[in-house]
Amino acid sequence: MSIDKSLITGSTTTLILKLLEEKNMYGYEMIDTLSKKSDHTFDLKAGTLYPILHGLEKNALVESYEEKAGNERTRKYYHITPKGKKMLQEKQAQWIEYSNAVNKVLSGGATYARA
Amino acid sequence: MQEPETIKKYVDDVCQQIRWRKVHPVVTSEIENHIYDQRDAYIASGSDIKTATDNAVLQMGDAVVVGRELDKTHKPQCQWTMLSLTAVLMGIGLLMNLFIFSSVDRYSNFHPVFFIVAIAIMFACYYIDFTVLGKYAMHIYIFVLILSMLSFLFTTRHNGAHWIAIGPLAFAFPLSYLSLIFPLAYALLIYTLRSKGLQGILLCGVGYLPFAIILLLIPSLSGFILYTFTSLIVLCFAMYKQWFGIDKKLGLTIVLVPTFLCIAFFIITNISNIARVIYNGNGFVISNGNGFVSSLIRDLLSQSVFIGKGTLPEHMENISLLPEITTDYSLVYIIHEVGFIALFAIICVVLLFAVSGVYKALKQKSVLGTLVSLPIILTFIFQSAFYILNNTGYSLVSYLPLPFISYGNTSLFINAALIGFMLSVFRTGKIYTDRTTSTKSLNPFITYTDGKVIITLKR
Repeated sequence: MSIDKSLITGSTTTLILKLLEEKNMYGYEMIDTLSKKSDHTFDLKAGTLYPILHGLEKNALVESYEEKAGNERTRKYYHITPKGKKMLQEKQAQWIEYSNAVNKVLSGGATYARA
Repeated sequence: MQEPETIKKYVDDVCQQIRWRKVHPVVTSEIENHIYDQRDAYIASGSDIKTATDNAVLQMGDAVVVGRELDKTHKPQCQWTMLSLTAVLMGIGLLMNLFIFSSVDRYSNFHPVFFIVAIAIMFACYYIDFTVLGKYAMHIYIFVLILSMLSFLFTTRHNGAHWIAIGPLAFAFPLSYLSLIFPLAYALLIYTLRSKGLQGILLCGVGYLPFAIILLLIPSLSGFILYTFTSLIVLCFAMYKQWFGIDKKLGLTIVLVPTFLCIAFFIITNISNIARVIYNGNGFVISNGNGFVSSLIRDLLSQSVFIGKGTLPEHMENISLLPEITTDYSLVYIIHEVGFIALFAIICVVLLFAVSGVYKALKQKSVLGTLVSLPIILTFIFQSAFYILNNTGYSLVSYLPLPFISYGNTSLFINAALIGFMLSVFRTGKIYTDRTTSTKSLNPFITYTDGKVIITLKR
């Protein structure tokens, strides 16, 4: 089932930060990992990813460094900062609160659930 | 269209939307690499190279939209706060010098036009790409070394110190001013020794010596202290960042233990000389011999008030009896004429500038950014501290100028250039990582595979 893009857009930053919390990654690796982990639900466009990553870096939520890959390419790796981790925790908490609220409404509302 | 050209065209289309040109190489490298990674994945799953390239580019999304989004993120960080503080320092310097030279009855060659020249120098350096310093790091170190050696050998001695005198007297300046550029030259030497291990640290030790010896021969104790401690801090920073490829604790131990042993040895062997310098330099203890000037300063400051003009001590008919009142001791004159409020105002601006500078220098993304900006702000701090100490009766070390404030065209120009470079780092440093400048092309011009030399003409 395809997911409405507007649903994905709001959570992309959280998903990127979550990936980087696990390990340092370069852009292509993030898209590939996200796609595999979500069973191809989140097939993020690279053109969407890089402006977000550069924005996160500008706001000091992630840092980058370059490393030579075996095939003469220089890869730019991203690393989550303590500020980024804090932001991730906040975003996760917001997301849980939001999704719980949506689930309650979809299942008939809090009043009905209690009844 | 050839595959690399398809990729190049896409990247060019993205970059066309980004107005800040300095960021283009960084964006180009990252996006190109991404497309090549994606293309390789498609090839691995069975696509031919052309289809794989087309699909990889398609996967990127619309180039114009991507470029516009990146353009919103990447803008030079104009250093309004630091520029404003520099303007305040220069403004104080200009007003103070105009006041002093119009009040004190003596011939002078002060002219405000030199401040305009200094501003031009500062902005020229502000807009220069600071990575040029990294590119020519060793050349700059050797150039400064040769320049300082020649200056030392072919300059005149006056009042026990070496001076450079070019043409008219207006261009004469003490050789100790070279100490203002030595820390940066030394930091650039450190930059060239990346991943050199113990050999790199040893070369840093050897590279420190020539400038230190020159400063001791001039002689300039203040210059020597400034250079030594600034270099030590910068070297410790490099160790902390594991710049030489050595564990930070081991690296710091290698640097700090011999340094403290040397300092301890110097203090123990020169204890009587140091005690004499401290005793003579303290105007609150002695009022004749070497402590004469400090004693005059003490007397003038004791007659000064918080706001307004102070009175003259009984034994002093005229304030201009204080020597070098337009240069070395201009702050004493201002405190006496305007009040201690002037001193506190200057200290506040200097402190604000210093704290902002150190914070921004240490927050740099690239080690090169910090290696350029940190020695400059430390040089600023040491100069200011020495000048303020000298002007408050603690003449423990010889004169160094108060950046942008005390009179001296050469120091004004040198400091303007240094601060310009520092602000250039703060302005554009966020886009540079330490390997950005040495990023190699994706398809090398010459490759060697399976016993064949392949020359790629279209890359």
